[in-house]
Amino acid sequence: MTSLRMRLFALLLLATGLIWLSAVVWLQYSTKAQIERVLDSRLAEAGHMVSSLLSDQGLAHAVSLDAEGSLSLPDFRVIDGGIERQLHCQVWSMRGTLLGQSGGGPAQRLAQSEPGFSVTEMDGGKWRVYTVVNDTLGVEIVVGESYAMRENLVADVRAGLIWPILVIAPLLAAAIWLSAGRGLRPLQVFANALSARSDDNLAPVAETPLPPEMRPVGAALDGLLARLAQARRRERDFIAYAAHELKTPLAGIKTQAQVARSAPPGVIQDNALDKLTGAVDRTGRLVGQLLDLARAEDEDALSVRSEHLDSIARRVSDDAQDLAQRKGVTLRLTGSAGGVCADPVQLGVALRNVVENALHAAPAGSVVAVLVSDVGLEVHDQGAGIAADDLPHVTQRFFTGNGAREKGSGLGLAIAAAALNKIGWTLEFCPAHPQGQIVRLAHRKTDAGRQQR
Amino acid sequence: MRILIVEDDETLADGLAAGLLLNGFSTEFTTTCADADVAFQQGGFAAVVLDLMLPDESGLDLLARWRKAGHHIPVILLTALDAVADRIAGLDRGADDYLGKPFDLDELAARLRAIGRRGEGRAEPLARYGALSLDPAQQTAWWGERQITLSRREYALLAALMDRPGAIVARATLEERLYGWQDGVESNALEVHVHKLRAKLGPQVIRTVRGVGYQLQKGAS
Repeated sequence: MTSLRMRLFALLLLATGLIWLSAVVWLQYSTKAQIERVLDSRLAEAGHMVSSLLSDQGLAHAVSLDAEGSLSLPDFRVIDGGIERQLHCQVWSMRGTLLGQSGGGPAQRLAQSEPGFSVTEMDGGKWRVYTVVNDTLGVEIVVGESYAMRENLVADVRAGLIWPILVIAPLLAAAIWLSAGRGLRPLQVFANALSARSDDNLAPVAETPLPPEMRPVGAALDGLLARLAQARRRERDFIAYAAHELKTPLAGIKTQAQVARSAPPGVIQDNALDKLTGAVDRTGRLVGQLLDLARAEDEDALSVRSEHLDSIARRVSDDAQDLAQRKGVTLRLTGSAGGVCADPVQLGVALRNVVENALHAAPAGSVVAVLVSDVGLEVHDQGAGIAADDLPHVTQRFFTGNGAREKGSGLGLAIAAAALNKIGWTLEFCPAHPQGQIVRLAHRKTDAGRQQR
Repeated sequence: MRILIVEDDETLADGLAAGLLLNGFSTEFTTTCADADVAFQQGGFAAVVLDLMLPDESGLDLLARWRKAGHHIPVILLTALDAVADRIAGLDRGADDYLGKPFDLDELAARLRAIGRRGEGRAEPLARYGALSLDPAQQTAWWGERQITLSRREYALLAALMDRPGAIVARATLEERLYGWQDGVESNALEVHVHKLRAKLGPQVIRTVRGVGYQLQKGAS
């Protein structure tokens, strides 16, 4: 894109040039008309003047002298002064004899005997002619003026208009160039202020006064900055919270390690080493979940390849068999659906966390079932279930119920909810009978349909 | 010294109990503020190690309640919230000391010893009773100028008797000190360790009060 200043400069210059040019054309035409009018009236006046001069000088007998063909005419050169060559006068008798004429004029008759104005072509030039008929003397007075003279006058006026333009144009261009630069200065100031900002300054730009034309840009930028600030705040909160939640297991690991080192070989040392291993495993899982959560909340990480619900459920339950065995819980996959999920990664993450949650809650020897249907996915367990008081909080990060049999990280359901929310699914909880918990991962559309029924 | 640990992370609480036992403390741990309140009312603790973020309420609220009720027991806060502002808030709500997680076990033990001896009104690290002095940091005893090397169990027993020197200490209290070692009942037999202590310190230092417990006797070196 060309620079704004260049565009503005070119446009202004073009517009100014066009306006000036049309002014010149218009002035030329109006000047020409004006000149014609003035010169025409002068021509007519000159004709009438000659006619009256002839009458006043007692030349009434001119007609009788007609045959002689000589007439003493006043010296038009004196009367006409400086424009002698522009204005020519002829006096013709009614019979068509040239009685007299001013010097330097064409020898032919300037116009046929038509009173008033007419245009004649002769001697390679155009003439404007005015004819006066003097009935008293019986003569015709023909006054003519060459058009070339008129053209010269108009050309003089035109040159008078154009020359200043040619002189002024560079000055005008320079003035436009400087003004455009000056007019665009707020933009430069704005850009400088933006580039001078530090990385963590996300304060609105609209706080500094902006010209009205730039306010929409400022407002749009402020919207972006606000969203950025919010994202950054969320990230910072998450990191602070995650660091905080990691410190406790780390403290446990460090304490157990110190116990293991200073205790004499025996029960205490063995116990500390066992606890150490378990704590490292749990902390590892916590870190994995934190990464899951970060991914689930990452707005850009949408995958494109869709996958059947059956296949997702099978993949997740296969992965979880290992954990189920360690817990002594049977993990069963039942049902099938023809449905397809457009984002198998997010749904897989959600389902895995719900299943792991169920496996942790389930007592040894019980069954955890993953049910696939067209409504969605359901995970049933036979654990203690979620207490009614805890239900509103279970999807909050790091929430662990007061009565939790085995204390987890409090992230599993938060991850599931975040991942499902991103792909337009919901997480629902209902109690199972006689005991246990059903967690349903449902598509939002089917959910709405069920509520209407 | 008997310490009440209030910590909801099972691994950490277990490590604290074992680690403090190794440092000559006896401990009891609870995972919620409500349980901590019940345990505290039963008494007998020299200090409390209190976590801030507990499942039922904040440890700070529990602490404030105790201080309002006029309990002077030393409290060390143990928490992952270890920004300066959090430390200040904790100390101003009535805590005696503050440790950020993850902490060093030996440092926690040293701080507990420090607030323990302040609680007893002394600044000197050695606890003295007659010719007997006890060095909690080294877990050794001195009889006059003679250093006496003690096993951890012997030290724990002697430290329990030195908590309130001269007072009769119940068998149950002493057995509880030894119980934490989980080495089997036989090796924990109270009489065995009292016998070993008498062999090292002299027969008259620990007096048996029949049917009640044992008592330290002030002896001359």
